[in-house]
Parts: sequence; C-alpha cells; structure tokens
Amino acid sequence: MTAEQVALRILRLLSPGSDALAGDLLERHRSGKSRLWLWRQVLAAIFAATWREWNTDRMGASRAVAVGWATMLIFFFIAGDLLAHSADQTLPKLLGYLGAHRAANVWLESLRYIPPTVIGCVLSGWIVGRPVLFYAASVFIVLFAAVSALAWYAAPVAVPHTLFYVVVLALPYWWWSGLLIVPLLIMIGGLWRAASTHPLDRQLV
Amino acid sequence: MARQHLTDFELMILLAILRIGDDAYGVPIAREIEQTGKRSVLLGAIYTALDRLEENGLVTSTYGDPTPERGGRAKRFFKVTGKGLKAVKDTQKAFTALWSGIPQLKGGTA
Repeated sequence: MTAEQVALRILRLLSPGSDALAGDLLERHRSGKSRLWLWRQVLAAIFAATWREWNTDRMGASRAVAVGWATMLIFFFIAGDLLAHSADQTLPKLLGYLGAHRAANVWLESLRYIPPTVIGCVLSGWIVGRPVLFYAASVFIVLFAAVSALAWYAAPVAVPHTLFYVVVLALPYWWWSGLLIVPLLIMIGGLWRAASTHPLDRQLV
Repeated sequence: MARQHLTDFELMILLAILRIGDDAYGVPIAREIEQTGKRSVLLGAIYTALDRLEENGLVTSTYGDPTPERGGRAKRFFKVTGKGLKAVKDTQKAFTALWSGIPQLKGGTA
C-alpha cells in the first residue's frame, strides 16, 4: 500500500462521507502536488471534520471521552494488576533461561508493564470507536486527553492507574515516547473498530 | 438560528463557484481562490465551509459519476442558490458602503 493510499484511507476512516474530498485530493496530487501536500491536506481535513463533529454534539463527544477513560480505568484496575502479576511469574523464568545480564534484567523487568497498558489503551480506543456518529471526534479527543494527561505528568491530574505513568518510564528509551505511544495505541484501537464498522472499499487508489 | 452574514472565506467560495459555473467542484474552487485570491487553501476547509453554506441554503450540491482518475470517487458539484446570490449581493453592498468616503483609499495609494 502506498503512502497516498494510507493517507486517503485514514481520511475515510476518520472523516466519513469525505469521498468527494478524497477524490479532489487525489486529483490534485496526481496533477503535481507533493506527497507532503497530500498529508498536510488530509490531516487538516480530519481535524476540521473533528472540530465540526465536536461542535455538532458536544455532549456525545464528551460521553465518548468519558467512556474511553472509564474503559481504561476499569481495565487497569481489574486486569492490569493481574497481567502484570502474571508477567512477574513468567519473566524471571525467561530471564533465567536466557541468562540475561543484570542490566538487561532490569530492562526486561520493566516490560511487564507494557502488555496491560497496550491492551488497556487499544481497548479504550476500540470501545470509543463504536459505531456512533461521533467516533472520529471521540477517538481524537481521547487521544488529546491522553496526551494532555501525560504532558502534565508531574501535575496531580486524574489518570486511570499508575500503569499509565509507569509504562512511560519503563520504556527503554526517551520517556516522552509515551506521549506518542499511548495516544497511538488508542488510535489503533479506534481505527480498528471504525474499520470493522465501516468496511473499506476494495478499490485501489 | 443560521447566521445571516458571510465570512470572507465563505464569500470567496461563493464568488469562486459563480465564476466557475457548471463545473464547480472542490478542485477548481480551490484553484480559483488560490489564483485570484492569491492565497493557499486547504480543501478540507473549503468542504467544511461548503457544508455550512449548504446547511444554510446558500448552495446546493449534486454528485457526478465516479471516475477512475479520482480513484473511483465522484465529484461533488456545487451551485449557488437564489438565497446565496442574495447573500453575496448584500455583502457586496455592505462592503461598497463601507468602502465609500474613506480618504486613505482614494487615488490608488494607501
């Protein structure tokens, strides 16, 4: 799949009813506009559609955000600790088997936080991306909320679970990477659900 | 209640549709604004404004046939309604009235 196809499919998923716009973008792209131009147009169109949906039904979008956060909260408290505990049982055995170095041991130890966080975030996006009219706006607003919460990491903001923070610190590289990964996971969940709700056409771009 | 006045962007879009005529869909509208208005535009913003204008009854839209060069997607053609034309004329009148009697704008120099 080419970058153009990816861009237009994302547009279709997040801005339903934008076929004419997608056709126009493709037409201009094929008549000489750059790939960067196409992506800029697609992203702007998605945000414009999101803003419009948000303004059309603020209550619906707020409800979607609440549902997204509640999903994470419930999942982390019910299944999060259980998953982390299971990883606690299996990782040492794995490490022993691998004969890992102490530093690697610490690094791998931190991986136990990742599965529950990944599952929780994807599930949140999946639930929010239900076949509701405002799914595109909802997914983006949840994404924005997740980014905002992490950006205020040091501030006493209400977040679902310490796992939400810990995964950021546990990642084996720059901690701000969590700013991309957490919302990205929510997005993946939302797009996944949206794609299954509104099947993409098989037509090639 | 729908707004009664046009934003500058909405006015440019309506004028672009009127200039283009029957073949007014997203691409020529964007080109017309870019060429005559000397500004770059986002197609998504044009569609957002057009949807709003359609909701307010200032334009109507119809879909053409899907074409292969657009990846099988149809063009959405726009026409200005009588109400839209009146809105443009009213805006023109308002601007003309505002323009008149400003000494700094006389003689072609600012």
